[in-house]
Amino acid sequence: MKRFNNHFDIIVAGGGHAGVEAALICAKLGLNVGLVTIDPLAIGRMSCNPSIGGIAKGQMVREIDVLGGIMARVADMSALQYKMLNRSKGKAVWSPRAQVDKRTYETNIRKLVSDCVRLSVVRGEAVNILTAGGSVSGVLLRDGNRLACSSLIITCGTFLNGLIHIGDQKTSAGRMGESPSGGITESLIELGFSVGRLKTGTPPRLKASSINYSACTRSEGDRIPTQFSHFTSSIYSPNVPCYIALSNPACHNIIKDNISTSPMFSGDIGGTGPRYCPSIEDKVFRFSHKDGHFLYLEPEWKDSDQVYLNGFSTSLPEQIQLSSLRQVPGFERVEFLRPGYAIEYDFFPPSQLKSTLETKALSGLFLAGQINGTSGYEEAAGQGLVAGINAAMTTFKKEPLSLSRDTSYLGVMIDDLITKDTMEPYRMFTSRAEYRLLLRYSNTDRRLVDVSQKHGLLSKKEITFLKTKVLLADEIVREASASFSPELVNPILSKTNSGAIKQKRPLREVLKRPSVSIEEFKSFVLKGGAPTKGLNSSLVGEALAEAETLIKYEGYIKRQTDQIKKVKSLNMKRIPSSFRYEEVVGLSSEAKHKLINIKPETLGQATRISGVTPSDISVLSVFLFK
Amino acid sequence: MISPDTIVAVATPHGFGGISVVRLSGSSSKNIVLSVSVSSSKRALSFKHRTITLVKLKDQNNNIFEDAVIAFFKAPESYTGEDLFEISCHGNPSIVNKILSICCLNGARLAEPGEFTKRSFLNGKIDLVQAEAVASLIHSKTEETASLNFKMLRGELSSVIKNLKQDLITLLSKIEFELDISEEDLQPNLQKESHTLLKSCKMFLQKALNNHSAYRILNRGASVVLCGPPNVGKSTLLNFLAGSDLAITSPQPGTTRDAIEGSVSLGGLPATLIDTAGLRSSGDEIESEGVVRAKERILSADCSVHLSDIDNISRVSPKELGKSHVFVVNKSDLINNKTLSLLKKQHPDHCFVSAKTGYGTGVLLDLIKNNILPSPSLSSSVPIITQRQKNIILKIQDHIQNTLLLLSQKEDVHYDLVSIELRDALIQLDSVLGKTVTDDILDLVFNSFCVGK
Ligand SMILES: Cc1cc2nc3c(=O)[nH]c(=O)nc-3n(C[C@H](O)[C@H](O)[C@H](O)COP(=O)(O)OP(=O)(O)OC[C@H]3O[C@@H](n4cnc5c(N)ncnc54)[C@H](O)[C@@H]3O)c2cc1C
Ligand SMILES: Nc1nc2c(ncn2[C@@H]2O[C@H](COP(=O)(O)OP(=O)(O)OP(=O)(O)O)[C@@H](O)[C@H]2O)c(=O)[nH]1
Ligand SMILES: [Mg+2]
Repeated sequence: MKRFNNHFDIIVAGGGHAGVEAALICAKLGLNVGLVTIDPLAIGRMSCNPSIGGIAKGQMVREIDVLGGIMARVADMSALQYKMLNRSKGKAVWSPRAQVDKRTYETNIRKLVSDCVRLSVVRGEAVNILTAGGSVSGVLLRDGNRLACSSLIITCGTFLNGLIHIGDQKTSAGRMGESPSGGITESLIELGFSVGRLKTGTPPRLKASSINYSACTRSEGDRIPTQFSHFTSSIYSPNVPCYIALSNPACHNIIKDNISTSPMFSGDIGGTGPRYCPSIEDKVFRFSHKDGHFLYLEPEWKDSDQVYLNGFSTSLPEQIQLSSLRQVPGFERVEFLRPGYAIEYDFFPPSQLKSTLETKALSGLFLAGQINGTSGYEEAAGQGLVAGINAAMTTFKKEPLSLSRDTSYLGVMIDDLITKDTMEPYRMFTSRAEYRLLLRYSNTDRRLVDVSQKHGLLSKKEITFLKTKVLLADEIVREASASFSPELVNPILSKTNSGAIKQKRPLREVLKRPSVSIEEFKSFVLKGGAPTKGLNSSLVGEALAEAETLIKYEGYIKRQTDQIKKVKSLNMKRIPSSFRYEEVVGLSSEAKHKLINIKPETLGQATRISGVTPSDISVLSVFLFK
Repeated sequence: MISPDTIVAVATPHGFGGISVVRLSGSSSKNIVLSVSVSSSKRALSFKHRTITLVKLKDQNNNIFEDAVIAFFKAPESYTGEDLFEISCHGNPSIVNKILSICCLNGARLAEPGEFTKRSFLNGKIDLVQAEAVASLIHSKTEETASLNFKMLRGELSSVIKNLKQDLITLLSKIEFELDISEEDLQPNLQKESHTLLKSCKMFLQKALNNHSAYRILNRGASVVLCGPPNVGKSTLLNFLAGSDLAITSPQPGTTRDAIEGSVSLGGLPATLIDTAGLRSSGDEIESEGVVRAKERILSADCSVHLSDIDNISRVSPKELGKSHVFVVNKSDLINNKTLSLLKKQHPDHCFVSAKTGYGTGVLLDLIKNNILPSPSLSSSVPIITQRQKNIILKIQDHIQNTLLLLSQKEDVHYDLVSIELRDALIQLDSVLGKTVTDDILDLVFNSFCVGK
């Protein structure tokens, strides 16, 4: 047996968003971590858009924060502009997003990594997974080094056998300008895993000085920013503007005329792409009745000459990209720093994972990030964090972290990944969460502080801080139960054209009216000894908004919590992993096939598998629990 | 809860008849049939899908006791979706019982009421609406309802519900699109569009609810109460209409005390006529109790027929009218034709009859029927069969009403809440079809079946 060159508790292969969270949390929990990555200077690099958060993603960033991750903190340190999305569509779907300075972001991440004592960065490419006695024993690098570990977390992103397409030009790469990685796919296949192929695309980067901004619409962020991290003490946003341009029929015509040169249309790309983040050629075809699509000009870093053209993801030949864009007002003389491109890469269908993100087949092996068929920084970071925590919990022989669908988007994501078929890159949406109303960005602390404390993911001080904010929201709701006289209330109501009250009424009744905002009644509910200690005004404002939501949505929140109670018992019923579905008489053959393949951990998870009907569940529960 | 047992039951009514049919369903039904039967020909026994086989039945001591014809339906192409045998034998209870007990000795178990249909449902052969239609079809009293139930069994109500569901899903997906992919203003008319769609859903459901009550009457028959002051001839009218001497009649006021029921056919609609005690305040405790009961009957009946005597045409206070009503003047035979036509003109909303001669009773029956089942005719619309379905539709109405309220807000529309209302409405729609039913609901539905179905 060959000797190992070095020993770690945990090895993370891949220094992207998943890898960084995994490595840092393991080190924070006291383990000795090796972060193997091809290019240490690319650690934490943002491959695509210069923003963090967004619809449903912003909520996940918050969850990562409460679970001890770093994405939220670093985003706050690097933000150029903040915007709360969906502000007009209901509190449950308010989603924070920030434009960030990619360079600052990367630099901050690299600093956190290099400052971390128990974390060593190893430059190298992981090419083979080493096993001993049915579990992971280490990893082999391209340079021949062998590193030993008790758990291995693979987070190789879009790099596995990555192939870039621009028109009919094909280049092997992990991302533009970086070589792909090989070996890991083959090693996993040898270990019995099944593999698939996906694709995603990115828009061109424009030269800022070649754009006529006066033909575009300026788009600023919120004047009052919403911080991502609960622990950012003072929040500042330079509010750097973005710009919006509008594509036009002339531009679309060029794309239509040259559609056959797009590898996504010519069938040159085998992998499946995301429906929801369509390329411009997709949009022009699918929404052919539309004369224009918005194109967002986002600065990649402060004062940068490099602009990200959101909304124009494409794999057309560079010349077509350029000539079609030059039809758009403002882009007449536009120049590229880099064309848009599509990338194809290997992924491993995540039904091969447990809810801990450990593989079912090989103990000690965890997969996280794009390799699991997801897309997006936030999705990757969330998985990296969960995989890291669970690798650590396994090492400590402690109970694993399990996140439920009713307490977090991360829980929804992982349950979806391991339960449902991945046909296209998985991106988080609020509609994936059946208890969306309960998964607000503003109550992340309440939802997750207890699990975080249980697994030791934050310091005592941080936990106390989070609890202070939770208590403050409760306190405000309590204050709002007090009754106030018409003399006090009516002057404020008249300002918003809301009907006057005739006698003393509990404030919460007034606050239930859609047109009445708690902001107006701030002095009524925040008085006395409200525990605002240590919370900055932004967090106090959030507690206030959270209390308002609790009051206004009371009936609906109750409805969702009642539904949760109903299915709770199913989710509590565990199915032993050794359970033999083959022997169950009465299951439909489709159900049997799916159940054998997915091996659900609970009866609740079984109900969510497509093709498993209520009567299959009845049969199953007879066999399991009689 | 479904189990892999093989079940057995008689599928025809109990008692003597031409033939009886015993049904057997489940994975071991073939083995059971093979061990209770002997080939009637030289060839060895074998059963083919959808064919009949002549056999001799034997008991556990191998004694032949009956000739029978056995039809076989192979899983999944059978009513239950399992291997299914139908044994036709002579219609004699002792033979039927013998077959049942021999099947049970060989491993079958007696079926619960409705269990065959329940398996059919659980195996995805029919949906819950269709299952309920089977139950109603068995119990249908009129030809009209039987044909409605048959339509439902063919899945017509199900397809209407499925269309409704499709509409709501389409709307919901637009709303989710709005919530999840907000950046381009791709749906500027969403609010208006949602409003229009939901309004028409609401009207549609309302029609279904209206039909429900009429349909219920068709299915279980109508109840019609005869009421009015003492001695006006209520009992006499009952006897005439029912065509038999059910109630005691006498010139003495206060004769009838208990409610007395008789059956009539209202042009094909089966109805129960209820004769009641004459309405008056009386010192007699028993008579007073009779009056109390009469008043209860007036309120619960589908129609109340208020009688008065031709000598004293009385008015009825609106409170005592019941769900629907008809005013009748009895003893028309006591006056001459001229006076009668004069009185008719003075009381155009009254129906003049004679319980003694039968005069006017045909018109009266038509009047009652039209009162109970107002047009438009029900078969052309969407019927709803059961109380269960009605309750669910009421809940769906609530969700749609809430959604309309949310959508009519002048401020920002809370699409997150709209989505919850629509999802809940969809869950309810699914439960009409039985897609998401829990066991207790299932049991409720299938308990109304008879054994063997
Ligand atoms: C062209 C392109 C377009 C994209 N478009 C979008 C989009 O439109 N929307 C969106 O949300 N997301 C998009 N993304 C995805 C987003 O960048 C990823 O989802 C996210 O970065 C994935 O994080 P990760 O940690 O899994 O992997 P990555 O961020 O890709 O990181 C992988 C890391 O692993 C290292 N590595 C790879 N193989 C090895 C190995 N064998 N040994 C050691 N180290 C290795 C790499 O050097 C890299 O540092 C796009 C990405 C690309 C490349
Ligand atoms: N001539 C005539 N006599 C009638 C007619 N109907 C009823 N009578 C007589 O009226 C009397 C009362 O009839 P009932 O049928 O007992 O009256 P009732 O309304 O049931 O009376 P209570 O039970 O006491 O409330 C009897 O003597 C009947 O023969 C009718 O149409 N014509
Ligand atoms: Mg009488």
